[in-house]
Formats: sequence, structure tokens, C-alpha cells
Amino acid sequence: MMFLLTATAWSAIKLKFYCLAWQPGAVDQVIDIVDEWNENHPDIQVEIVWGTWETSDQYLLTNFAAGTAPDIIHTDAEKFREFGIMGFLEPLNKFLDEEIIKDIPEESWEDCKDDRGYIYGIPWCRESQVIFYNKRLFDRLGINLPHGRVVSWEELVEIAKKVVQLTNGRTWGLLAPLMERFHWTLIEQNNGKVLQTDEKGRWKVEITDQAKEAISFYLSLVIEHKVMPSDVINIDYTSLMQGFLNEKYAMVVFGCWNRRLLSQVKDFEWGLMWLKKGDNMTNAADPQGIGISRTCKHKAEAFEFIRFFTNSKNSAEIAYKDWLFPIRRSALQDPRFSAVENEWDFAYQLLKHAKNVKPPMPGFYTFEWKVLVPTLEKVILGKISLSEAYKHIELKGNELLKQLGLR
Amino acid sequence: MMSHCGYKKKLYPYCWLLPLFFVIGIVSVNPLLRGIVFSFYGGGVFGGRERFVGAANFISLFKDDLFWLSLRNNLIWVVTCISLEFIFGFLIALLLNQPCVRLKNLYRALILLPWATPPVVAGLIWRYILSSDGPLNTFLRILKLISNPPSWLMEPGYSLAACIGVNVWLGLPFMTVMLLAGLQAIPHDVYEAAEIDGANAFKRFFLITLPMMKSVISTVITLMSIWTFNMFDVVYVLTNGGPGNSSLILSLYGYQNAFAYYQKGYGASIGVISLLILLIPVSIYVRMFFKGVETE
Repeated sequence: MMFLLTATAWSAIKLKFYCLAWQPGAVDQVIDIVDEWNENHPDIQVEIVWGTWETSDQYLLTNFAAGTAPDIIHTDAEKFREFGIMGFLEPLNKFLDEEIIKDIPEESWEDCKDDRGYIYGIPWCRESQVIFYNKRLFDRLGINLPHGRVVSWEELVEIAKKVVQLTNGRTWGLLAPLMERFHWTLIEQNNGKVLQTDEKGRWKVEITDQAKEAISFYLSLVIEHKVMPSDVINIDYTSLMQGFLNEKYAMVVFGCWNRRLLSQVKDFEWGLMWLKKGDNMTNAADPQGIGISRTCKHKAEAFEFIRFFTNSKNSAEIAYKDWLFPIRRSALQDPRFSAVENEWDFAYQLLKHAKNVKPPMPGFYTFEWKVLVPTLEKVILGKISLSEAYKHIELKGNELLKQLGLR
Repeated sequence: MMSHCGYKKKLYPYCWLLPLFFVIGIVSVNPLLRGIVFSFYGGGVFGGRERFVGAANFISLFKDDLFWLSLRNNLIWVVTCISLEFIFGFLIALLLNQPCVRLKNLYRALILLPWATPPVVAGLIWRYILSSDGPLNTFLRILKLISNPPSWLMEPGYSLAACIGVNVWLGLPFMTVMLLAGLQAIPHDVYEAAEIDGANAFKRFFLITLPMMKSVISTVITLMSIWTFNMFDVVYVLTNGGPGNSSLILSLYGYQNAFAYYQKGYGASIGVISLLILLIPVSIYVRMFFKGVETE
């Protein structure tokens, strides 16, 4: 018996699963699910390799290059498109069946797909970006929110201005850090485009007037209206939360997962708001996915694990414990996602308006961090004008796209 | 003609060096050569497989504003860091070398503390200290030294200076310890003889201390220049090169290209340029080293 057990353990297929879950509840849930799988599949054993969001790109790129990448990978959904085009990931089309395909909305598949139709990752869960507001402060200042707590751009500025005025400048109206990509939500709501394809399908940087209007609105919050500090440039999560809890910022733009932390703070009342422009209520969502590395020797087995890990029940469990929403329609039926407590219902009702607002260009992050963000930072700091910034973004952006092989 | 036995005798010591050559080859020479090879590859990560592009990466680099900006910042970074570390390090070393100073060992241990702190940890601590509402600004406000202190890490005029300050804090212990060792190696009777001859403290410092410390000073400055030029973690943690690339230095720009911007070849070419620049102090150091060996 002992010999048999040892032999099975020795001959079992071993898969490494790179997982970025970090919230305590989600981590426990991932461990439980992997344990359950390992118990039921003694011949396919999965080992979790914990990673962090801050270092995942570096970890994955170096491991891809060295041929030592984990078999199963969890990261941002659009990274699957990028890594897939770069040849590091296995197309999953041959493993997909109707049950999975139909249960995941079509637009979610787009994030993990290249222009030839190869799917490199299973869209799995997502967060919607919301505006958190300090409820007690708003009550104290007598600020009333519009019905449904959905505010227009103009209303957002008005509310933020009121906060600054009524607190004699002690509290900033809003904080929407550049890293949270609030400007991309504004661009999407205004039907603007910064990155677009030409008639031959090649990418180019061309900022439309609507996009300029949106970017200008974002920057005006700092420069013109002075309701948002230049902290947007370099603020870290701890300082942001500290500032929100200490009434330094009355509203902060952040992912809805942040509710976990706020729900644990005693005597702090908070609420969620949603932004709209006219009838357009699109807000940002950051989807995550799971895929298989091309160097994985047991791809079919790896996919079986992914199928189990992302099934309706497990998707719902992990997403709920991570304060996110699952992408599978069946998993979303779980009543916990529409509960009143901790504003699940508010975020759930508006989930239909949440979408990935990042342009579907491979190399988007490179463009954003190398060209767009540093240029916007210079405008915020008054080093260059907005018109100079647009010229610079288009010129340097197109040069970069050429270097990346996108033009 | 040398006999077979003579050859064997000559080769014998080199056999003992083979494991060392092997290890150095694997951990130092191999990555160096690979980095140089990578610098000639590129062609767009999303436009098919990377291919040999000759000197294209270097040509793009010389047209790249960010490269020149990071090189300029790098020079400011190295010169300022080394100058400040040297001045403060020498002052502290001179103080610690005074016979009248008590509790010398305690001071030496305290001086070494920043050196024992990993740069990333130091970066995170200083990031907090230097934040807009951090302890430093609170302190400045309470003491009414500055009514509206700047955001040290968020304003272009201060971000690089803040990084330099933190790096000086980290590098000071090594400089101090090395200079103190140099000071202690100077025979005391030289000072006594000078004193009898009527040399004042000023003259003793410039005519005895400095000349006799020449080799220590040049060695430590050369080594520190090389390390500081390649320093990456402090700037990465504190500002990540921002805001608006105002604190971007060469090592960070190379890292960003290779590991964040999917431009491995471009990042490698920055590494090659850094290597070429560093060959200047390295060659000075090697020449000094061999000169020292010859003198001995």
C-alpha cells in the first residue's frame, strides 16, 4: 500500500499554478480549491506559486525567456493577448467547449484574444471601478447626491468644489490617481480615441477631439478647478487610503475590491458613486484571466484544472472572497453578489456598464507608461501646455509603436 | 626548447584556476556576452519574432530624448552622491579618529546601521518619510521652518535630489569606514614630527593626511562611482523615475525597457552604453591596482 502511494505520488503530473490572489479570504479559497483538486486527482498535482501584481510582469517575462514559466498563469486579461502574440502562451481554442464559451460574455473573450482569433486565457473575474465617497463628511457638509448616486461630469466637479469650499480647503474634493486610469473612463464615456487602427489594421496614436476633451476635463480637476491635488501623480495605495480615511480626500476613484478594507474600518461610513456622461454610463473594469504557458508539458491536464478552478461555483467563491465579480454569467447568479450589505447591490446593478476601457492594442501598457503618463504628469506640474502634450504624445507614441512592430 | 615536464609544471597552477574560470564564465562573462548580443536584436516584439537589427538600437538610442535625459540625470546622480558621501564621510571619519572622542565603537556601530539596511527597505522607509504628509514635512511644519513644504517625491525639482539624499544616507557608512581605515593606517609619529616642526592642523591635514590617503581615496571613489552609477533600487522604489521622468536614471531606463516595455534589445543597448561609460573608472581602478602591486 505504502509502495503504491509512493509510486503514484512519484509518477503524478506536477503543475505549477502562478496565482496573484492576495486578499486573505481569496487566498484561503484558492488554497481550498487547489487542495480539493489535488485530493480528487492524485495523478495531477497542482502546486501554487504565489506572485504579486507589482512584480508579475517581470516574473513572467524573465521566466518565459528562460523557459521556466509556471504551467498555469493568472494575470490581467489583456496580458494574455500580449504574451500570446509574443509566443509565450498556448492558444486554448482546442480545449474550449460550448459550456464555457456561452457562459462568458463575448466582449470578455476579446481581452484574451489576438486578431487571428486565438484565445490565450479564460476571462475569470473582474472589478469595476467606482467612486468611493465619505458618507459622514457629505452628511455633515449637507451635500446631497443625485438619485441613484450616478453623477455627471459637471455634477462631479460641483460636488468636489463644494467639498473644498465648505471645508475651507482642508479636504480635497476628489482623488483619481493616474495609475487608476480614470482618464480612460472619461475618454470612453466621451467616445474618444487615442489609439486606433488605420485601414490596414496598423495601430497609430491619433488623439480625437472627444479624447482631448476628456483628458482636458481630467486635468482641469487639478489645474483649473483645483479640486484634486497633484498627488494623482505618484500616490501609493497606503497614502491614498490614509488620506480618504483622514478626510484629506472626500472622494477617491478605485476598484470596488477596496470595499473589503473600508468595511473593516470602524466608525467610517462610506458609499459608492458612479460616473456618467449623458447617457453613457460606461465605467472601467479590470478583468483577470487564467491561461497556459507554451512550455507546459501537460496542457490538456492544465486546462482540466483551469476548467475546475473557473467553474461557476469556484469562480463565485473566489470572486466573492476577493470582493470582485465573476465573469461567468452562471456564477453571477449567486445571490451574495446582489446583497445590500457593503454596497454589493449597487456595484452589481451597474456591472452591465463596466467594461475594459483600455484600448485593445498589444503594448498598451508600454505606450501608457513610457509616453502617455509622463507627459500628463508634466502638464499637471505645469511644465508643458496641453497642446504641446498632445503633439508629444502623438509623435513619441507613433515612434514607439513602430519600435514595437505595431506600425 | 621547453621540455614536456616544463610545460606540465607551468600549466599545473592554471589547472587549479579552472573551477574559478568556470564559475566566473557562467555568472559573469556569459550574461555580459548575452547582453551585448541582445543589444543587436529587436525589430518589434509584436511584429513577429525578434531579429538581428545591427546597430539600429544604438542609433534609436542616440535619437531618444529619454536616453539623454537619463544620462544627464545619471551624471548628476553620480557626481552629487559621491561628492556628498566623500565630504560627509571624511568629516565623520576625522571625528571618529580623534583620540579624545569617547564611545567610538558605539558611533561606529550606529554609522554602519544604514549600510545594513537593504536598499529596497530603505527606499520604502524614505518614501514614507518624504511623502507629502510624511514625518519630514510634519516636522518642518511644526518647527515652522517651512510653512508649505514641497512634495519631495512629486515635484520635478526635488525628486532627483530626494533620491540623491537617500542614496547618500545609504552609501555614507562604506565611505566612512574605508576612510577611517585609511586614517588609522597613517603612522602617528608623522603627525608628531610635523607638530614639532610647527605645522598647524590645517597644514597637517593638507600636507600629511590627504597625500597619505591618496590611494584609499582614489580606490573608494572609483568603487563607489561604479556602484552608484549602476544603482537602481533606490530610484525605482522612491519615484520610479518620475514625475515626468525628472528622476529617470540610466539603469532604471534600461530596466524599464527590458522588463516593462517589451524592448529587450533596446534595454540591453542601454546596458552596453552604461558598460562603456563605466569602463573609464574601471580602467582607472585596474591601473591603480596594478600600479599598487608593482610598487609592492
